[in-house]
Amino acid sequence: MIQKNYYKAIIIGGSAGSFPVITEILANLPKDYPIPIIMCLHRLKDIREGFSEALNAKSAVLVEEPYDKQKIKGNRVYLAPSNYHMQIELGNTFALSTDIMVKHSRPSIDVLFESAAYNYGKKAVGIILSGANSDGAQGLKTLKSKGGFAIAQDPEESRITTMPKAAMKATTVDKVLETKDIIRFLKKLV
Amino acid sequence: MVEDLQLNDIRKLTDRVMEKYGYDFKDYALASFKRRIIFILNEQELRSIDDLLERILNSEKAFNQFLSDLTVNTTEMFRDPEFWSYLSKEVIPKLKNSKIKIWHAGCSSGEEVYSMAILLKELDMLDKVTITATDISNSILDKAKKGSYTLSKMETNRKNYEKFGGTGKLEDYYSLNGRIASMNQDLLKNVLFVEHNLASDGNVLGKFDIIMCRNVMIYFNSNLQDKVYRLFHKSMSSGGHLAIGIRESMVWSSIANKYLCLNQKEKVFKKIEE
Ligand SMILES: C[S@@+](CC[C@H](N)C(=O)[O-])C[C@H]1O[C@@H](n2cnc3c(N)ncnc32)[C@H](O)[C@@H]1O
Repeated sequence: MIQKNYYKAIIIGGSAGSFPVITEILANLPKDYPIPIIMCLHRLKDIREGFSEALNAKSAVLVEEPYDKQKIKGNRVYLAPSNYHMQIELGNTFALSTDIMVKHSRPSIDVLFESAAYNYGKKAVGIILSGANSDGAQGLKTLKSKGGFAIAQDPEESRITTMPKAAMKATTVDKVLETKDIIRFLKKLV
Repeated sequence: MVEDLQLNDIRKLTDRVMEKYGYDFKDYALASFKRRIIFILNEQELRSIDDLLERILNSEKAFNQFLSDLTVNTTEMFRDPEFWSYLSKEVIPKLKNSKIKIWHAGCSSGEEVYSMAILLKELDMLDKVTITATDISNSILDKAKKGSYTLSKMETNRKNYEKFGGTGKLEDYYSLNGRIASMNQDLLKNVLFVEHNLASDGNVLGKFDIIMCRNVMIYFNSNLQDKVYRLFHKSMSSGGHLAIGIRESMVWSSIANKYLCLNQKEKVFKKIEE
């Protein structure tokens, strides 16, 4: 049973092959989607700009890269800025960090998911999309162990299956979904 | 493996460290601070805060190691190249005083200081400037003074330098010994490295024309951030410039209305009111 208006945040991790999935999800959510969507997507470190602009062009919900200590709100999609880890801080704000890379990544999906797990507990939804490494598996496991709801993109549909498969191996996910069903699921939450 | 820590464990650690060594970590931002401590516990194969306390309260050497592991030291030369281009085109050449003073607060292993010295040298302004470079950790300041970096780090530094638009080659500024690059020490002729703790040393180190504090205050809570902003304000010459990290914001600070934002993207501010 999925409870309406229960979840406080939707946390998404993706890497190679996830960009079209993300754009499709964002293109299909209403402008006033009330649950904050917090994303960590691997990208080239050198590309500081253009990424959130590209997402904004497709998304009805406003996409932004947060500043350190910025308050987390609904009707927003947040994207981890390039070259920083993004964490959720007590009091529902963002905390950025330049700490060493985790599994060769900064931003790291594990770091985001773990901090979301500790701050939102049962009220977090975690989604791992297509990608060519295992970042996010540990984080999704922690999120699940704190009572959160874990989803992996269906490897049948994923362009690159390593990441969703690693997540499914690390923990028992609640659902394995194709993009269109992820969208349907997110709409049912509100 | 330690996976999580309770808030009261963290409080206990910061209280005992404060009592014994006088370092105040209670106002560090929790998420990153907790991650660092968990990282230290697991790396040293300790099982609890009590084990860690036993180690660091009984050995100053162990405490110093702890201090440098606790703070995040990652840095690069010319990190955010566009920021440095802006500084070199729009800010520094416009400083008209005969002597210019710069403060790097939280200079880590020195990359930021060498970047500044190189930038000044290329503007032919190195002799006009004195630089004060501070950090909480003495061992990191030793690294900064030495200025020896691995070749793989130099590769990142070189790419940044080229994007910044340096007029020469980064190789002009160091010599190679095996796989270690040693920065030319004449870049440091007007640089003073000083141990200084932003969390507790409220004394003014001077009046500066430029204060750089990039990616340091993200590790502080807003309370401590504001205290540091006020210290910077007191240490700033009139018309001086403050540069913070590109994902930081000073709009929430109590000194925000005394500054004009010169560049919103690169986060450079100018003092317009005492
Ligand atoms: C991530 S580094 C930033 C280096 C450089 N400014 C940059 O942007 O690349 C953060 C530095 O802040 C220093 N630091 C942390 N707490 C401090 C404090 N209370 N006082 C002074 N320096 C501190 C750390 O030791 C570390 O070297």
